Amino acid sequence: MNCLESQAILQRRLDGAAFVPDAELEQHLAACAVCRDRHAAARPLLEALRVQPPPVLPPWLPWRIAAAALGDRQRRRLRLRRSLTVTVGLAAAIVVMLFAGYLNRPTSEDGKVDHGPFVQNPQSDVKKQDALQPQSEKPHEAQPPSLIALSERLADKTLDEAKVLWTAANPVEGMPMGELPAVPDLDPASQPLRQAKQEVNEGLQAVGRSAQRAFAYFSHELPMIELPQGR
Amino acid sequence: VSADDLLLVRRCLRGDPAAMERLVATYQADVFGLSVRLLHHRQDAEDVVQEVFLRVFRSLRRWDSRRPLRPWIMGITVNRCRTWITQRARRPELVDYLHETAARDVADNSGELTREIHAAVQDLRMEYRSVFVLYHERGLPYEEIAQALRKPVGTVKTWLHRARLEVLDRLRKRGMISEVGHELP
Repeated sequence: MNCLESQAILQRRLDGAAFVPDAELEQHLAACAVCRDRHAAARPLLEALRVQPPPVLPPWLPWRIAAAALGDRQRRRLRLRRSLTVTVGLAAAIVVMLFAGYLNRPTSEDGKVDHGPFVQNPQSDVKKQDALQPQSEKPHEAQPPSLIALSERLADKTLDEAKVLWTAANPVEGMPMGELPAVPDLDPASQPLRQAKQEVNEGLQAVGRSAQRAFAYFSHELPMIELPQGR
Repeated sequence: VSADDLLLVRRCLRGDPAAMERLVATYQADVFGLSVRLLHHRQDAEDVVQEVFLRVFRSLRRWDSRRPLRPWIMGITVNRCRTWITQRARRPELVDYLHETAARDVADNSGELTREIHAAVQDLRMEYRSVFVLYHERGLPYEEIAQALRKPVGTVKTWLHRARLEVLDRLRKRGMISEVGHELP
């Protein structure tokens, strides 16, 4: 028997197995002082652990724990209720603001209600149909000049670079650089961008008017807060 | 899981004060005993017991009802003790004083061997100490210790094996083993 086998027996005994005499173990213990001392200490250790008194609970501790647990529960419920109240209040305020904004929604000059960009109405359908029509039919003067200028600059630059590349890739005798077959007009490509910008502008204007009226309404209705003197 | 535990937990979740007191009464000895042995400090153990039960009641909804309740509570206790020890290490001056005064309380009128065992257990690293106390003092089987510590049973056995050898070696070095004790029955 070696020390590992001796330790395995020791662990089994500490797990609760009976201290059965074992000749091989005795022989090993006679030769190994460390194992002998460990085996010798095992039984007193178990005995001491068995008879040691359990830690005595203070008599007031259970009551204190129960009171603390109940108090903690009440505090948590109160916190939850408060956060719920705040959430519901915020939601109600948002609903009221939306409703007020709806009541004070902007109207066009002819007295009809402007539904804004997010409501389906016949006018927007007409606009969409216009957008689907060939882009070349729309005059350039109707688009914002800066956007047109930007698109044209980009188109010109791209065209120049394309010419250089085309000439380098397909050299034609007698044809000076820059004289290439006609390149289609790139303006129609920028039409959807112009259209989108216009629609976004219109939508933002409607939202801005609504927000302005809502703010004016609330600032008019709410009482003024008087600041303390000296500020 | 026993039907009693399930019923008790359900009543606690409904906020029944009597059920909460009963749950505390059922497990307070285990929690307090483990805390005292792990912290070696009565006042700290009392505070930790209170924290443990607060956490138990707060997280009772997350308890897996397919598993026994006791290892779950003991696992919370071990974690809280570990956190407490970490926090205690950050305020050494105050705690050293309290620790000295409390050590005399812990070392009650039990024998010298018991005091040596407590000192040996106190010197074990946290994992070994937890396993040793849970097995030898709280009487939890390997499986429940493994559940409490969220470790495999093999790891728990290894830790307990090493903890026992360290305790036995300490007792041997401190001369707590008499020559007569070598005799096997």
